[in-house]
Amino acid sequence: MIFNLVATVILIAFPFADITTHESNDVLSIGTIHDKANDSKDTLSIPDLQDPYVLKGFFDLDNDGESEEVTISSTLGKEIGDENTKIYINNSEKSALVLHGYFDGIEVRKINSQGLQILEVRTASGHSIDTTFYTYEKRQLNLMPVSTSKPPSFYGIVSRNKPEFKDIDNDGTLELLAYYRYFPPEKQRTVEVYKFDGLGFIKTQEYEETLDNTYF
Amino acid sequence: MELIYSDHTERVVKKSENLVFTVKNKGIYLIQVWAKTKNEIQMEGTDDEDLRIEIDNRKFSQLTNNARYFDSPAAFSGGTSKGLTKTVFFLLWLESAEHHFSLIPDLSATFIGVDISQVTQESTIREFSFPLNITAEDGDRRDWITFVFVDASLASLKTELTLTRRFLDSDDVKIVIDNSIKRSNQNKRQKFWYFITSLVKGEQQSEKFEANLPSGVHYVEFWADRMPKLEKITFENIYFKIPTTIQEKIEYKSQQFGFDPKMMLRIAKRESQFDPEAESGAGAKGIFQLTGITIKQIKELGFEVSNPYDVDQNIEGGFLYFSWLYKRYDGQRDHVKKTLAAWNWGLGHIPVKEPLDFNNLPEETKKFINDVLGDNDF
Repeated sequence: MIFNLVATVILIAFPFADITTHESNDVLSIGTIHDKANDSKDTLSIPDLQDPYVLKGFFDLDNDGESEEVTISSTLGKEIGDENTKIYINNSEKSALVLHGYFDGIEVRKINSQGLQILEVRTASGHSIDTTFYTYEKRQLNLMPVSTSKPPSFYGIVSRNKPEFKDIDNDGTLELLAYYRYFPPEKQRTVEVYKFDGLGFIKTQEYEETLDNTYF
Repeated sequence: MELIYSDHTERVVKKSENLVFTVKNKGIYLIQVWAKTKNEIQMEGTDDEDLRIEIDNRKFSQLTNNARYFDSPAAFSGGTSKGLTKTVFFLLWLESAEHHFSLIPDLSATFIGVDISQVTQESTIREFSFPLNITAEDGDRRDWITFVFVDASLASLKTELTLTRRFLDSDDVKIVIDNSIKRSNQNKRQKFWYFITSLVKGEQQSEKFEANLPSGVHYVEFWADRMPKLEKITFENIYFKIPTTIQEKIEYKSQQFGFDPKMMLRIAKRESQFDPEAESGAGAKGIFQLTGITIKQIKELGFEVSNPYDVDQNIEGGFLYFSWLYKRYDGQRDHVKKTLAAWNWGLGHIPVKEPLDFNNLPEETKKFINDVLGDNDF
């Protein structure tokens, strides 16, 4: 049944963004928005970052059969370092979420067979990507803490690499995989595996893996 | 010499001014600056006027204290020049690009003018001789002329001066090379003044001084009492070390910005292993892994990185951004660590006033800081 729950996503004002829906054995991503400006390796051009950067999409955040209108507003701010991203739901005047950093991507995923959906938000900050996870209940976004995340004021993953979701133990629930692919020229990266415990993600494994190619 | 920029609009400078000039042909350039600064008595207050110069963000400090700029020989200090005109010459290598010449006053100063001329397109000068004909304004002992050699070595210099006997007090000249006062054997009583009119025979004085200064920043100072005239100066064997490799360019920029070269090299190595073509999965590009947002922010700082894979642009942009972060945390405890944490994780996460809670930084940020400040090989 969950494979029928592909969200409707509508682009309103989204000059550099791409919206996709896709399915695979491990991941069911029901709605994805990511910043396409960073995708191309061949171009020398510098993306002309929109400021403010506003976009809207429709996601069924709480799996009740009705899509929520999600508005993302990202700005570089008045001064360097002011960049922040705000998320509004269903045209609310009050933002549901305010994050440091410029918008990098947003995805909605179903992570278990009970149909729990989570919202993943990524912002670029410094040389890192901050990733945080939320559930949407009773018209509120609720932060899902990641057990080893630090500092206390930040409950997500900070890495130069995007995290992934995979059902690595085939129990029907997706695990969160965070990659700390450290820095060049290393081929080795640290993988942290987090399992969903009903509220957030608890780290269950950490291991090093060697890749065929280097960081770049 | 070919004059490429000139500004002779005399004015009182109370705020920093940035003058922009374009160098079409790289080479050795001479920047001549005139200004006046008054002392606290002349200001009828408790503070002197001061003015210092920055060239492409490069500061010129005292040789013995790299945190003191306004009383450096390259600056104009009211306490020593006492409201009289001082001339500072900068001899330096400039690449073909847009350059910035900044006037930074403390309180205020009277800027008289600046001339920028190309001396040669070579990096070595066997003999650089030019007539000056600068006569000091009448006044008591004060600093008068400084020659600043920027990243150059110098073998020797020859001065041609005119000193005049005057009623009660005649002309005298003191010469200081890198804080070392040149002493004359003729003069036991006033040993710090090399040329004393009452002791020398004739008005024209010519003398050669061996300097043997290695590559670096050097100051040759002339102090005046009354109204001596510097007719001509000749410098021999000036050699500029031009950075060519990425590592040399980072070291050169580190000196320009006043940062520890080892730290800046380790940042670049950690970010890209000095690979100018490096690009991360998140879209960070080049030696300092500049992101689209960072490049936009660098543009706000006055420099446009149009091609982040270009070595010089990336290094300049990386230094400007790091320097901006560094100034943001200036005066704070863990100044350098805060700067590096903000570089890695974003300054929105690193408040200026709050203490840095290092243990609670993200693991990747801690590793970055430890790698940059440590000695481990990577």
